[in-house]
Amino acid sequence: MFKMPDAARASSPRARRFPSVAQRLAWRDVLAHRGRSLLVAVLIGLPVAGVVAGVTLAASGYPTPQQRVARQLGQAQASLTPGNVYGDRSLCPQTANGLSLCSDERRLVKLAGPPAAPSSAVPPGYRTLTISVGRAKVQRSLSDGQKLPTEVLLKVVDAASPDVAGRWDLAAGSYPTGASVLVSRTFSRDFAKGVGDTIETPKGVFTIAGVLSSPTLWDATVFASPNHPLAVGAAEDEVLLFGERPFTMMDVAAANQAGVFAYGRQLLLTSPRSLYDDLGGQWFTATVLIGSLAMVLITFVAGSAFAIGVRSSRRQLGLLGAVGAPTRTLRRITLWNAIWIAGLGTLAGLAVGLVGGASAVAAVATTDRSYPIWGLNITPGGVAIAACLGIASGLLAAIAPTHWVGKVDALEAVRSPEGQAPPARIPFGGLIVLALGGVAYAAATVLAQERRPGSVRRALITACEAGIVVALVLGTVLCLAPAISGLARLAPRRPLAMRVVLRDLDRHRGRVVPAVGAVLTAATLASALMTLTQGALAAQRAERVWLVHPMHVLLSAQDGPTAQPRDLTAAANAVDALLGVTATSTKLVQGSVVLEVPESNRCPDQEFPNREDWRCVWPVAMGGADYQTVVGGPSELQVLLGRVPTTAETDALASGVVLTTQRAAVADGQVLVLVIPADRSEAIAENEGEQTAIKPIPHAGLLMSVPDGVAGWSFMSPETAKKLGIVTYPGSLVLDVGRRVTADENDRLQARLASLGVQNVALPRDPNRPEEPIVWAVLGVATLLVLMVAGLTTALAVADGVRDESTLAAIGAPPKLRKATTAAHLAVVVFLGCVVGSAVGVALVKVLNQFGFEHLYTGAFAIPWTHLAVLIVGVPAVGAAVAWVVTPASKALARRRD
Amino acid sequence: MSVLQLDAVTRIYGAGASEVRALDDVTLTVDEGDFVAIMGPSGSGKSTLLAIAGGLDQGWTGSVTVAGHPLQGLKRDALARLRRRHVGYVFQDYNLVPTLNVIENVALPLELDRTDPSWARQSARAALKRLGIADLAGRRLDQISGGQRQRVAIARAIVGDRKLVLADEPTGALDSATGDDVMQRLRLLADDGVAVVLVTHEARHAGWADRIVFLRDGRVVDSTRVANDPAVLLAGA
Repeated sequence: MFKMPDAARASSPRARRFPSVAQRLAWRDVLAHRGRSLLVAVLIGLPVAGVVAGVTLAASGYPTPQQRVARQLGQAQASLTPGNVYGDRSLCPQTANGLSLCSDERRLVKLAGPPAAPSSAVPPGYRTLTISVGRAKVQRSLSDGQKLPTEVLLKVVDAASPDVAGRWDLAAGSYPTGASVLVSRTFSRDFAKGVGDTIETPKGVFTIAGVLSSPTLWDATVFASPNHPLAVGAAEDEVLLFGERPFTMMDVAAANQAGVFAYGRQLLLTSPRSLYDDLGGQWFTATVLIGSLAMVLITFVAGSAFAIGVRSSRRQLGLLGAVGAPTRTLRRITLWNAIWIAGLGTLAGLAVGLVGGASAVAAVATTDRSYPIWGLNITPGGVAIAACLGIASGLLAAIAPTHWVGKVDALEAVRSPEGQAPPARIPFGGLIVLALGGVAYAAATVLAQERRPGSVRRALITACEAGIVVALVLGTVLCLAPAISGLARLAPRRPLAMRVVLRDLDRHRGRVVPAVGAVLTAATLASALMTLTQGALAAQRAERVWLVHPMHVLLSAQDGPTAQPRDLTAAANAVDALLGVTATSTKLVQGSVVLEVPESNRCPDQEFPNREDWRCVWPVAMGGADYQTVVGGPSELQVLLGRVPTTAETDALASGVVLTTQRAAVADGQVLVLVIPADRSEAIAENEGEQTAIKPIPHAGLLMSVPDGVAGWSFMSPETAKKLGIVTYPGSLVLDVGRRVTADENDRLQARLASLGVQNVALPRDPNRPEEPIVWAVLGVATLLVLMVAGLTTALAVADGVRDESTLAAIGAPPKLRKATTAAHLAVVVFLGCVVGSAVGVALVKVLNQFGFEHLYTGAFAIPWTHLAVLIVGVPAVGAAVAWVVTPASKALARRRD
Repeated sequence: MSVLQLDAVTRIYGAGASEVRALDDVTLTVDEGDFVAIMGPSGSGKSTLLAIAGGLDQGWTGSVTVAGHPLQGLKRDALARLRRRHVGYVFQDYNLVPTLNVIENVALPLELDRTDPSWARQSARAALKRLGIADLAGRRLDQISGGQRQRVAIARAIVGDRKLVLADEPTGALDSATGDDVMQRLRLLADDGVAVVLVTHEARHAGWADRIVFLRDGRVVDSTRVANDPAVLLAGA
């Protein structure tokens, strides 16, 4: 008999070998079930790719110091621009050393006086290049053939100069020669003009030589060289400094003292890095949260597939146990199966994500509109997070099957591959996960106590938020097993198909729980997005300030006390003709006055936005400069507000109180009136900083309530205006057209009035608000996702149940029973997942809103009841109908296979 | 020397009115080189006896010793180690791992025991050679016949230093000629000193054994020595 020497035994109990038996068996199993393995690998790879692409796109929207220097300075050492602040404050947040740091890294200590021209603050030793700006009026063609003169930004600079190389890219065409111009990509798109086309201006017609693009180039802009006819009248806006000497903080302070903003190359390059911004800022948060939820969803679908795989391998596992495989080896086989698949899926996802992200960056960079692209910035942190999510999802999906494998009785598995479902127990695992979610919530609460957390804290808060999301969803799913067993108890009185399905769901909880979990996760995502969107819409409606009632058209009769008045007869007739109405007109007298926001009503410490403080939300935080003041009596007030004034309001008006809809203007029953002299009104209209020289006058004030966020107005009687020394002028003509105006009528009105020379028109908001269908669109996408997930898991379940189907067919079950059971299976899984998922999604939004989730959420909490009802009732019904239609009625009776 | 010793082993399933005595006070000794056939009607406890002997079934009372190792109180992993090193199991349905080829299947118990891989392969080849199928080493399972698969299963059962082979109706899925061949292989094993315990329904196959133990209702009702000539058995009488 062959006798193996003892030396052949393992040299130590923990002798390692790669690949080990478990790794090898797992790999062979992956290859043996290529279809299922590929499906799960693709499912894992897709969200990995999404996260990588999303984080890449997010990070590419945030500049590296080198990218910022290139785009903002070109080859210059520093840039000087006129200091421009509101009052004597800057809305830019302050750093620890008292600097105000604006979003483009402009530094401000405190302006000693009014803003000054940049050229007045050039330190010695630098060569300079001046960029001027102005406005150019360009004819814009409308769809109905009319032309609308439109003001656009004009930049006067030699864009081809090596000094500005790197600030803008020549996206199309060539640099101009002669009288040709360059335009921005936004101009090209808005005006539908490209290289070779001409632009009509009052100063002539000019050919477009090329199109410029840059992440800082948002507006429709025309670029003209310094000698161009359009450059006449342009004012100095930026002075670039060239030289060897680095621009220091002392230089910045000196410039600030002279009323000039400044930043330098070295300062930008050595600014403290923001980890959070490096990762992509708020878009990083959004990507990670959505990506986490997607990974949870995929974990459940993969878990369902793994559970089916383990069940189908039950006999083989029993055999291995019978041959002498220890429990840990059986578990490792299952675990390595998941690792191989998750690894392959993750690697593929990373590759696809990087390619996809680069492609998305390239595509978005061509728009220059919705999202600025600074360059292709791939963050190792983001890629690592995506890789971890992919591997983690595979491992999480394998937890339950791995645990179950260790409990397989070898003999029973060999003899009876089907096995019996254990009774549902108290879901301790789910409760523990929910408890961990509570820990994450507590941690986030502590971290978020600091109003403006630093970048590391913010990243940690994001991690805690992701933890809350994952724990709540995962924990809820893990607690589903008793619910599914409970459903099975409802079986006895149900129709045959439902009875079979309910019992089958209980019997195969191993694959049903992850299937319901996948649907639950999709429903959670949908519910959360719909709740967020609904809340955003509610907040928009609450915060929007409309200068005109929905049924009014407001025409400007005179732009200021010293401006030329307009004859609005033709304009009023045009409104009547175009809308087919006979509008009631009311002339409004306006005052040359502004209400200043008292210090107590200003947003403290630049905490904008802060939903918990009404002073720090739009538009209040931006002050009241847009609010105009009407001088008149109760009848004019009624026209303006669109309602009858209250007794308190008319009494206050009569007694000389200033009425206003501007909440921030009123403090302790008083307002601060800035009476603007007629000869300074134009200057102040151009530059708010000019207001600082006017002393405000305290006066009695009353806040008016207005319906539906309408009308940013202040109102006073003629007597009060005279008493305060306010200059009045015939400011506006209000046309009450008696109905809401459509978007198309809006456009045609604007063009028609512009052709009559009436530029300052306030038109009613579009009643067909495009944002409302967004919630339905989210529901539509969610429905597709839910049905796809449910369809996938139902298909897996049907494939798993072929043996039972054959048995049913053999004993004479009607062919349509197969359709009925498949439809019932899908309906129950989807209904259960959508009911629980909807509640979880709404709860998540409520919870996350506590952590200053202002980067994605605008503060209002509104539950979209109608949409959730459709999700819970309509989607399962639709899914069942689709399953009924696509499932074949009968299947050829197959031999019972092992 | 005794390789398998069962003393007053009782196995009860269920309780009360649904209680079933699968084995009832069974005592059995199998020595090295013994070939014991277990026979009896369905439900007599044959497979249960084999499962207990192989450490695959627990919850019994009495005493079971395999290759000098008492099974009482052993945990799952210890029983698995026993099966890897001392006990070979042959099933009716071969129960080979479909994703492994022939030699990998045979070497599997040794690899699970973390034996040096080259020695495991060498042992596997030796086992295959004993069964006369060394030439099938690199083949996939779907490339060999049922009889060959059963021989592979037997090779896996004897690879290494196995002292005890438990065969539960190994010829159930085979034709008579192939079945005879399998029985012959088992006989040769016993002649080489391996203890073989065979569960079978067929008296012809039981005739290959040295001793036949009859079970009924979980009890040993008879045990008899057999003196059949292998040649006679192979002649198909």
